Amino acid sequence: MANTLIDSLKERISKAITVNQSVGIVLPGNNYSDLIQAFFEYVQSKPEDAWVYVTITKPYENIVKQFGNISEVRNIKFIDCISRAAGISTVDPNCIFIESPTMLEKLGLEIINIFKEVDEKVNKYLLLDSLSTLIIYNDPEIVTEFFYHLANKSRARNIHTISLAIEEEEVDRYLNKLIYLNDKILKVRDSFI
Amino acid sequence: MSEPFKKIENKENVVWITQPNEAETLLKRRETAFNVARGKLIDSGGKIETAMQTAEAFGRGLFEDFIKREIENWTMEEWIEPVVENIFNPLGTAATFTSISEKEAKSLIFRCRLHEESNEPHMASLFTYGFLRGIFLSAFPQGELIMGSSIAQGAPMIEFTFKINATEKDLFERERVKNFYSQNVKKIQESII
Repeated sequence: MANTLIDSLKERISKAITVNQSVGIVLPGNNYSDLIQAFFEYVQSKPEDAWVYVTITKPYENIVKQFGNISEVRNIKFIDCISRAAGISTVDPNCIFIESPTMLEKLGLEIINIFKEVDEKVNKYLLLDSLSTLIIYNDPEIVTEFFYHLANKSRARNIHTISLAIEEEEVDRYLNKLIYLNDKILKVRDSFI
Repeated sequence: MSEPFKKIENKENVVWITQPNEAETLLKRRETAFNVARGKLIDSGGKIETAMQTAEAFGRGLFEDFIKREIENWTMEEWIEPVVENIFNPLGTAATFTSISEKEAKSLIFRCRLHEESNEPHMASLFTYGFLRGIFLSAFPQGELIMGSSIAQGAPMIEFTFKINATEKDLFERERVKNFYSQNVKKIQESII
């Protein structure tokens, strides 16, 4: 069952992100692990593409513990916005650590800096994990402003973006406003997959 | 001594992040209690109640040893600070408290060493619920611990609401959690074996 789910998610991510410049994925919390696994499998199946994974939800070291060899995958770089705020001092050449999830300007700069080093001909992709977590740490208006800027910069540099939104009652009204800034929305439902 | 929390303010948005600082003695004590709980679960042929009681007793013990003070009527603030400093941080638990009020507090645990090390997500979630409930109800016997999403179900974080005064609906929470894990008892037993 889990494999069917992951394969199906992989296929949907692949189709959506190839055709669209920006994709928003809305998912129930319980499907998070499956989606991230599907995403990493997809990234590994496309070694010619360049990816940046921004994590606000989980520390980078936890992602590595959960998904094993992802730290050795060459076509993905990480930006971790949560470890330092929690006093976790891990260091890894594959990851940039930002002091606080509220430093959105710095986050935007680091994303662009990583992609500057990527050859122009290479397909560039960004995954933001997640908008719902950003809203926990930041004023929703500021997140909206950040997301507008990021979307514009990404479009200008031909970077495809995927932004995750984990459904929670409290933040739904802000999320709805934000997630619909994307070209395509995928809603993950068990019955839908 | 370092602050137990890091306060993050962004306009009107305020959250508090714990500052994990592992202490071997407490980690060992939890490991022992966890092993006792899982042993009892196996010996009882999968009785969730037995494992839950063991976890709650462990929580009450931690309260006696690390938190208890001469306070007749605890407030949420009086409870949270020493719990984060003496329990969460030494156990390496990274959590964001998204709200702390006189009546309730909400937390999102995004790093739990028990989940990482045990490889038994259901058992780890059950044990975490039980021991936190034990710590909380030691100070607030009229209260209840509400469990939202959990890592065992595939969510990125474990969501808890600590309520000082339980509503009628809240009084069924322990039973709800117990039933959920009873339905998953096979998964727990398989992961243990």
